[in-house]
Amino acid sequence: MFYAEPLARLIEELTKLPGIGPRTAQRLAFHLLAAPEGEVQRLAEALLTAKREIGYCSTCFNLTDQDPCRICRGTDRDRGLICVVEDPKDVAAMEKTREFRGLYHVLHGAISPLDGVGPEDIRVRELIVRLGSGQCKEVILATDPDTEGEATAMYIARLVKPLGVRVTRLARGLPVGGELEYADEVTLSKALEGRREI
Amino acid sequence: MLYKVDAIVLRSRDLGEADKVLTLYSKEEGKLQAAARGARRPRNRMAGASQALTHGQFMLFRGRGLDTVSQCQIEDSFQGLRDDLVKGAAAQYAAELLDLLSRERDRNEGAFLLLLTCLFLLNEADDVDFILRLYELRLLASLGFRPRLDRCAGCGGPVTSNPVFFGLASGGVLCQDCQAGSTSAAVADADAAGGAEPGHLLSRGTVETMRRMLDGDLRRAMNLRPTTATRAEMARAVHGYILYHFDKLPRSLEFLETLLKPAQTRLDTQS
Repeated sequence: MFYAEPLARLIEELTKLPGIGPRTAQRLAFHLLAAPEGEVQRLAEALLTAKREIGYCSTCFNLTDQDPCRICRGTDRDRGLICVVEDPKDVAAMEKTREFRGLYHVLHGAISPLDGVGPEDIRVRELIVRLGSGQCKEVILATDPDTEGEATAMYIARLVKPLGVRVTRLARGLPVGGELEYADEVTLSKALEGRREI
Repeated sequence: MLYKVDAIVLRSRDLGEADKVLTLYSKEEGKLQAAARGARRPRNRMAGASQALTHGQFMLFRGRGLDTVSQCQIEDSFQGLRDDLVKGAAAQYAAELLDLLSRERDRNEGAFLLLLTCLFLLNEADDVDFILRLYELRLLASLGFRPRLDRCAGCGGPVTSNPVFFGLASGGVLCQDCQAGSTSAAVADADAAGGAEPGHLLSRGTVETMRRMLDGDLRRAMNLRPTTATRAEMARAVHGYILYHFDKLPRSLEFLETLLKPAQTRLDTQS
């Protein structure tokens, strides 16, 4: 043992975090030791409070400290529009645009048969139940444009369409600031397919 | 050192913040893994090519650890497979099967061409189920697991019974003598226990169809139109054979099977 037991334990706990190797853990531990006690106290409290108070919204399954979440309770939200995303980070990304005023539904994953993740492992069933109320007029499928995301979108579309709800998919194409010559064939053909009159 | 391969992306998994590890099946080197740095960023040039089931030319850098993709060019992204749930799931199953059955850096050009053909066929044709059986049988043959269907896999003699016993351990059909020798139970189906060699009873027609699917030209084999009963027997025998020799079946098979029963799926999800 090179370090005193409490320090060694701190390093060991930090190493368990994703993307943190032993050396980074050591650096973080020394940083925390050198920091004022108040700062460390706030960090410890923030960790515990987040862990204790954050749960899932019973409507949209986004992470929240109140149930239903702020978005689901919002009176300025369009209840006829549900945007389906893979995880809570996607909700944050969509909210940053300030363009979308509807509600969300967080699936917590995507169908990935290769990893043994089937439709029953993500919150598809809950979405179908939610649509049963008849309030929703359009479902926007905003799953990632990769193999798993596409499969999930198609699977959901197959279940939702018979319910008489309009199903749309986020557009795919060229990224803002990108250069045409570097775009791959798939992206370019999708951009061409989804072209719009200006 | 840089080297170029003609390869199909069997699967990709996330690595770190923005990278991916691709499992490629290449014509030149067989199965291999390579990291595609930054491939999860939307503006990355490798984002499109790093999608599973993409056929492309990959320029790889051989370092001390994992190889890295330095450039890639898409040959065919098989868009038809991405726009159709069932075809996409079938193609994923085909890719996973090759991943499961092959070892790294074990070159097999036949297996590469077979997967490529399978993806083309799935992209163009609609008989998903039959294309997969054709692919499974030919892939097994290409990897050295060709089931013996013309003569007895035990003694080499003629097999005249109907139905015919397909022994999973022997890797082919068995004559009544060999079957009796290898089994202690009277009924020898895969479901039957009692120390018997596991196997399946197949009709002669099914065995003949399987033989035709394995032999000769692929286009001619594509013209075969087996009945629903034959298809079901064939699927049971081939999947049993894979399970016996490789200890597991691709995980994507379960999802594919649920999709092929759409009414059932909808009921399950809505209940």
